[in-house]
Amino acid sequence: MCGIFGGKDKSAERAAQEARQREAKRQANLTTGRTSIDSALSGFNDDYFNTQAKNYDDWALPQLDDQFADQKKKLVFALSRGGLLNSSSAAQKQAELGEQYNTAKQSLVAKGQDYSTNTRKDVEDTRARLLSILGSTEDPTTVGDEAVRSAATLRQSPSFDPLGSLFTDIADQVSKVQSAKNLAGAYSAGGAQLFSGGNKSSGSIIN
Amino acid sequence: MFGIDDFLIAAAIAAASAGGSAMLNNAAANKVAKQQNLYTQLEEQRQDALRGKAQQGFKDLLSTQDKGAQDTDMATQTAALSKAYNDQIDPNSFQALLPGQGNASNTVRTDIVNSGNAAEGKTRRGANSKAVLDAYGRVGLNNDIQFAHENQSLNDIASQSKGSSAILPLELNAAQNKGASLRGWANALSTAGSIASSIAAGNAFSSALNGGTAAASTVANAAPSLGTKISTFLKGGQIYGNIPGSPGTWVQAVPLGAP
Repeated sequence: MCGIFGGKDKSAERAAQEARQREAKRQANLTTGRTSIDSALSGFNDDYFNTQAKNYDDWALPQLDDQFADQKKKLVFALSRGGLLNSSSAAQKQAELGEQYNTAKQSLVAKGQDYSTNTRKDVEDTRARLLSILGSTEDPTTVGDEAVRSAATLRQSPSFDPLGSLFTDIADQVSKVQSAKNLAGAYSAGGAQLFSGGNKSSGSIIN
Repeated sequence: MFGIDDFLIAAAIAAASAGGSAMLNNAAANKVAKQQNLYTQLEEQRQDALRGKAQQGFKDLLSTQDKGAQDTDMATQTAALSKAYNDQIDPNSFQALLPGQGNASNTVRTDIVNSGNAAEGKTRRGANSKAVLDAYGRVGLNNDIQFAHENQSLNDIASQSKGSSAILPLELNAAQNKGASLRGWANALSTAGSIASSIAAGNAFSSALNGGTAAASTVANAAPSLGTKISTFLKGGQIYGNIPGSPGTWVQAVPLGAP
């Protein structure tokens, strides 16, 4: 209360002190909230992201190996049917299949890295979202709970896209080429023909 | 009857009160200014610290963005990806003999090895090129994340800066209360001086009416001057100098607060 000499009114001082305390409390809340966010997301480190990539590799590469084995069998059959198994052409097709296989492996590994990268982006997006909520609400408890929930969501395994066929069907190409060659061979040997008159004359003379 | 001595005492009280009031007001104003300076300095220190933190953070960020740092990051990412892709390459898959090729001629075997080597070389070149391309993406992502973190940090600092500076006006207002007691005493003294002055002037006038010509004359001459002087005191003006147009010797006896 203000005295007769005006020396007792401390309301302005109190207001300033309270404002400073409120600000300190606000900053403490923000710090607590940020700590909660960092803590909840602390598990998302390089090891975690590398594991994400490895999980995809473990899922995809065996499927690729299966497809490769199938393609190899088909190629052997196709080459065998054409009698080309021990030929330079077989060597070429074999190398081509190997190239497809190894390139597909790299692509799958890169895709695993993409899953890892996407998870990293998701973590950063989540961090930004949580910080935004913290800035708006200044409520560390709510944000801490939300951070834990978000971290659990991030930890859920991503659904991997089906691989589909990763090879160009080399064996089929070999078969088609072989069929064409057979057809051409039959034609030149006077065998099965679509049309009569293979000697290109207009008719035959019968004695 | 009110004598000249009483009048001099009243006038002296008035003048002394005015002088004291001015001094107290000055002291009060100094206290306010001192407290306001203190609050301002503290706030400046806080703002300086926050500015320093922001500048350091930005400086750190920039150091990761110069060409050397970017090239280093690019080289690191490229090497890591190149290794990851090349490690996947299985040399046997290019040139292992297929079932049934056991009796292949040397020519065919040589072809198998040559074709396999060529395919493997091509695959490795592709792996290295892919590593470079993908490394750009990784470096870009690293940069994005660093910028995002710095942005979050700057937002945080800006929030602290804004919150702190918003309190300064309240503190400056609170500082006005410093010296309030002194101002109260100054006002009391000033009021007392005014009352004393009024008494002096009123009694002198009364004496003149009662035939005290000399006294009335003195008062008539002295009262306005004294009033002017007191008024000067009350306005916080200088408290030295002669009373203008005062012929009375009594004025010399008043301690007019020579500096």
